[in-house]
Amino acid sequence: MLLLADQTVVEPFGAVKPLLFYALAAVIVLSAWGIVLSQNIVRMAVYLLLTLAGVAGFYFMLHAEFLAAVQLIVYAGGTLILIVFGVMLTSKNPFMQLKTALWERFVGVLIGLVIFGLLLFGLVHTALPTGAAATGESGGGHYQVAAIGRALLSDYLVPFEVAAVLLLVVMIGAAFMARRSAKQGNG
Amino acid sequence: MTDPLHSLTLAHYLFTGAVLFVLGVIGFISRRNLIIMFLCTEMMFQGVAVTLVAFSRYHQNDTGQTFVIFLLTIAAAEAALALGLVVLLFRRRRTLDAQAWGEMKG
Amino acid sequence: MNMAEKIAGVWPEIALLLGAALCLLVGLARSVAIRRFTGWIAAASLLVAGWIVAAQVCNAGGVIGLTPYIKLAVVAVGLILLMVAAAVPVQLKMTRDIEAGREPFEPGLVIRGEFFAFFLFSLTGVMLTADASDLVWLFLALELTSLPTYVMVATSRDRVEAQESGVKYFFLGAMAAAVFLYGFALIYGATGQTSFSLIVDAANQQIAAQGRISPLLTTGIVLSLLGVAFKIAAVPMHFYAADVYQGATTAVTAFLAFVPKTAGFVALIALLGLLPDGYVPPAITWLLWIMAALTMTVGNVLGLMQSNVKRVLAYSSIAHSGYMLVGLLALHGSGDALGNGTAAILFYLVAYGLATIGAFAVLGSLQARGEEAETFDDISGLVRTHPVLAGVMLLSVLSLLGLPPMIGFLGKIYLFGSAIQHGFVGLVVIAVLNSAVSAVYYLRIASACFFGDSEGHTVSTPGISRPLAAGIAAVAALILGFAGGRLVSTARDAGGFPTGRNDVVTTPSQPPAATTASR
Repeated sequence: MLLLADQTVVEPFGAVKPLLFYALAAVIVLSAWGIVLSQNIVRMAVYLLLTLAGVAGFYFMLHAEFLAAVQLIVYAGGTLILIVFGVMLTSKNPFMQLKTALWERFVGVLIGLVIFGLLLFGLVHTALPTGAAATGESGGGHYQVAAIGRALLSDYLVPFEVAAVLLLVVMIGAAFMARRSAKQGNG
Repeated sequence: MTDPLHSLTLAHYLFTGAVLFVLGVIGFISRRNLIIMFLCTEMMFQGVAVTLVAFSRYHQNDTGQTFVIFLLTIAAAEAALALGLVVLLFRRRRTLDAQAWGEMKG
Repeated sequence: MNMAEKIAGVWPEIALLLGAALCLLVGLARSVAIRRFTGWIAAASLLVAGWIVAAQVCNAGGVIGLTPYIKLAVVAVGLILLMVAAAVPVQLKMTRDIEAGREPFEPGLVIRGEFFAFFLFSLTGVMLTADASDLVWLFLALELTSLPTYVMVATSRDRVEAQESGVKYFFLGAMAAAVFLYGFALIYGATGQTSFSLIVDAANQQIAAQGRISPLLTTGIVLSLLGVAFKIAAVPMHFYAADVYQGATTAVTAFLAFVPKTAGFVALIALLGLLPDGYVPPAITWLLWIMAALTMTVGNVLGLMQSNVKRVLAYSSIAHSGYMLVGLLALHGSGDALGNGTAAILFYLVAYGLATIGAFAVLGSLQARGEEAETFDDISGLVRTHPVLAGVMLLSVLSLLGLPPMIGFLGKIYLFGSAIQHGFVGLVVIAVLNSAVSAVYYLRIASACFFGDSEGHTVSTPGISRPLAAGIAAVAALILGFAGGRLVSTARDAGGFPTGRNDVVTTPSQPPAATTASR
């Protein structure tokens, strides 16, 4: 951590930015914590919305404006609605209470802490390569969208097409499963 | 040495991303409802995305952001598939409690 | 680099995708006679893909690199898997009912078109994994391999077990994907690149500057390995295998036992290829060592306790992942087959695939009480009712066990030989002990077939394609065991490249610009 502290990220918001960061980080982490602990499934969906919005705020701070917009539109607007639909469709009582055994939480927290320790170890013991090695265009501004678009259709052309195929697979797969069950769901 | 409370560094973002990811792992393992388990994988994906964007900013290239675009696509695709599967299963079992469907035989 | 060059390597995949699209369209036809063609379309697109790969190999001067090797293996084994899948009983019954007018026509009810399309999509994913030269590409290729398999498992039969195991498979798969993605993110963070060649360059620079690669890169690779371990059902991520293999229909189980595993090992080879030549951080060596030892031990010990043949074969598949992980430790090897872990893994993938698919195809060829055979009772005394199938089962389990005339024996010699050359004697001792333990349950299957009392309730599944597939797999395993020299040398050529792929090979002397241009 100390090694990393030397390398300051550019700060367009000046002195306000750290405060903004801590506010957003608090929102993200507390709502994520809420998802893990909450017993009410609808509240969890709302907490996830807060997490997603907080992460979008991070993207703005990191000058990834395009991603921030995509995050809000696709994720908060699309994926989250999908999840809420899932809750409504599958739950006779969406406000039902859910409990977990103590030992399950214990195991979960233990494994989580092990992974967290591993991550911290990796981060703390690394002097990151200097920013001077950067080759791409500097982020920020409107050109970023153009740069991402160009990358998608040049360097990442094949992955881009594969993503299209994946969406086709998922679309057909979801429809396929829903259709089968609609016909013979209780068979 | 700059004061970590008054200036932001890469580490701040990485740390938040790691916390999100690990909370997702904890939730995935300790919760037993399919929808919640799915929300937890979404949290893990978000942790990865924050990490990628922070590194993208740090390295001053857009590769990380492009990666995140793909990540969001896949996350959305998995959400659709998850919903399809969960609805399929729910129609048969009337419960989404992962423990109710048979023990996890080692 | 223009687009034409970029897509030049993926023409086989394009052929498969076209075949998948055709399957989807033809699968919607009203007439059953036309819908029957979907299987043939899938076979034709596989053959076309194989022909394109062969043409590419000829153009490249006959040298088979890792990518064409994997693609050809996928085509060959894919054709056998297709024969196993060609007669999924539930579909057959349903198709007949619709044909006879007992059921109204309902395209959504007849799996054929979609099933074969997903089959081809998943194989496309494996081929793309072999092509990958970038973390983003690798990520999407692995997802394309996995996502169709989730649907295949969940819809493979009209039983709640299949759907439950599909859900379990999907959720663990999504979690594993997040884990290896975090690893990818850290790799990107440590190097600033996602292209394999540029990552290797950056790692080499780190070696030059500090004498080691950064812990961040090591952590990234460790997490990626743990996440990809799900695809090969290795120890921290092996929980799903038995339930999913049992829950899915046998054709899908055979598919799961080979296809995602191949993609997983190709991805592992690529990820370890990111390390500079001859440099493996101790953390990664230890991780692989422990994973290999635990995976084979857990697989074999739990395999002893099962009463269901499909579950036994599932644990056997876990154990075989453990053996192949041993080869992963000897990845950077000398040119000859005995010292080269990559070559050994490539060879073993085919050996294991043939044997395990043969065993599953025998199970799929039999029916007991209207369900596919899966318990020891179901195959008891098989030699009296179906002597040929019993013989095929015997050959398959002997090959899995690794007895001399079979291909599995050669495979184990190469795997363990490469590990011994790299000094992992302790691990090889564990592996050999494990092989001995596995003899108990393999011979239990064989003795059930040959010495058990037939209860007479087991009948063969209608259709010739499954027994034929089982026969082809077993005969191939036998012939290649005797005359595996050609395949061995091919695998050796394929594994000869230090990083496992010709377009990413980067030596420090090579100017970075040249490698950038290639991708």
